[in-house]
Amino acid sequence: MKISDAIKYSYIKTIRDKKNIYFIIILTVCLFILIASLFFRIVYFDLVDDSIEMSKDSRKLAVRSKEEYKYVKDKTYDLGYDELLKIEHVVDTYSSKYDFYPIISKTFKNEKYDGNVLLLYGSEESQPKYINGEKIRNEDTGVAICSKRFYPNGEDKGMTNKDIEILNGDDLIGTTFEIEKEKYSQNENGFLPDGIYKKEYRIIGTFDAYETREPLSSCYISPRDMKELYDLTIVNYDYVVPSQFAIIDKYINIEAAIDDIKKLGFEVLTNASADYETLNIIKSICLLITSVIIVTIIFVSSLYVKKQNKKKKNDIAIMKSYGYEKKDIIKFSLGSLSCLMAISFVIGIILFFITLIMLKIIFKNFLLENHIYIGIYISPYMTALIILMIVTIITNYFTINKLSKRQTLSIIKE
Amino acid sequence: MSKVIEIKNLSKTYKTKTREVQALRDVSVDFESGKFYAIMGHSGSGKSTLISIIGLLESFETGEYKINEKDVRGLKNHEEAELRRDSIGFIFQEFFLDEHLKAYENVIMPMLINERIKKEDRKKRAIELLDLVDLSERVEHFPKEMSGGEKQRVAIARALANDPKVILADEPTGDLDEENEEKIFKILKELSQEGKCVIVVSHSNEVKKYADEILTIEKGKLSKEK
Repeated sequence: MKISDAIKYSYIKTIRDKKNIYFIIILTVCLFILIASLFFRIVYFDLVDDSIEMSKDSRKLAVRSKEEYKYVKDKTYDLGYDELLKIEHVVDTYSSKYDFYPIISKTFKNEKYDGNVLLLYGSEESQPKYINGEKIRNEDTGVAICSKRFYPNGEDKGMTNKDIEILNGDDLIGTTFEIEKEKYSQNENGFLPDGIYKKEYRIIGTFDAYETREPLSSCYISPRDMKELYDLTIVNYDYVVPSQFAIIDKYINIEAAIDDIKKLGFEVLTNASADYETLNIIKSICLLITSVIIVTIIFVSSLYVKKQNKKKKNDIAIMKSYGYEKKDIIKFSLGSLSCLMAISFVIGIILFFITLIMLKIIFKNFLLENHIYIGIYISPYMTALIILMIVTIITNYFTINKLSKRQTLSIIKE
Repeated sequence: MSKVIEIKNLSKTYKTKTREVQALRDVSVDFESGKFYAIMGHSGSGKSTLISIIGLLESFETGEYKINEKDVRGLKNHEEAELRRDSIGFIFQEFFLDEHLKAYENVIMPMLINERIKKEDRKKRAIELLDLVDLSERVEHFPKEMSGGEKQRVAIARALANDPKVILADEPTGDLDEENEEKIFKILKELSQEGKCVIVVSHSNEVKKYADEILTIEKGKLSKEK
């Protein structure tokens, strides 16, 4: 018997049997929850993994020297932070005062935007992993890489406003923006104004601020430019010694790096590592939900096959009487259950898509504010489909195999 | 007329946990094409067992059984299935039509495993067979829309799907009224006159009017009445 015939006739029978609607409803609900659980797991862990891996903040340790008091007395005292670079996994180190610098750029200031740009320290090791365009080299000056969804506006004003217009950062590549700030110079009397510091930056690339979990007004500039901007425009007496940041190559190496930093005699002020306990709990919950759903699908499918048993027995007996072999009977039976699974799967996916779109619309602002990006993931659907196929084959095969071995006459006479 | 089925000294015993029941004892009989045979007897006499063995749906312990000169002993499962497909058409008391398939679709079902009937010819053949049993107006109807007699006629058409030489009918009129019973027996008689070997198990005395030979089974032993 050809597979096409088995599929055609089992499809016809399945569609015409109105009682199958109950099974389809139950299975659709199970599939919906299964896909949602798998999807959530991916989105959440993508989010966490991405933010951990791609955001330098997740790989950034704040370090303090136990001899800070000596620096306060004598500003020429070397706190030894350069030693940090000798530690395996520490790829960059800089003073926390150079970490970021909010500024207003007149280039972006207009009736739509207030021109706020957040400049970020962008060494080769601390800038985002994935950049469209060119990367900043440590020795560069006058260049920047900005958010590819660029919004040069203070966040508290813009992020929840439904009418915000986000610029396409890729269109800005090659363009320049300018900043201005009052300059100060220090003498024995303190800090005195010393003219205006102006700098022009050419945008050479863009990055995904959602992935790195940074504001949409962010732009990375080179370490050299950041230090220059800060040192010339900020009045800082260093009464409070800024901590030192150490950038680690990968977040999985954070624990090892902390140990090594401590061995050098430094204090580690912040632990940038992820909350592994929470992650593991969420992983376990997702696994539990997925397992429960799979077991439910197996249970429901088995119940369905058993319920169909009486009818199936007669069907099998009749098929045998007109010359069907066991393999033909199995093809037919698999066709029926596969049909139901396929219908439930398609309906489940459609419902899931609709729900996802509605959630994206209803929670648009929440997602935007929290830099949550829900992408297109194929694997939840493929995983759900594979699970369905395995369940169909297993639940069907054993029942039909057992029935088809029995003598036809005894089946009919029951 | 030629011999289609040859049975010699055939015996069948059913074994349960507590006892053994000898359903057939040393049965010897030949069936020829173009004849209508009626097998009669009380309940439990072994009629259905005999017809199931003939239809290769039951095994037997001792004896010989040949169909189309082919000895069925030692046949593998797929060889038995092929023989059933090509040589035997079965009709049951309860019709056993698929309620979710239309009349012609029920008739097509046995053709799905017959490569000699092309896909594009199946529906046409099914309609011809339904016409043969006077159901051309019910081709697109579901079993639930038919009477008992009509359902049994669909079952007959289905049994003829692969043009078998032998038609086996186990109490085909058991659930029918007199009028429909007559119709069914007439159809089966016509089939025998067209050359098929028709073997009918029945309690009904009506079958005697149509049968060329009447066989009686009593406590597993077969004897000829006519």
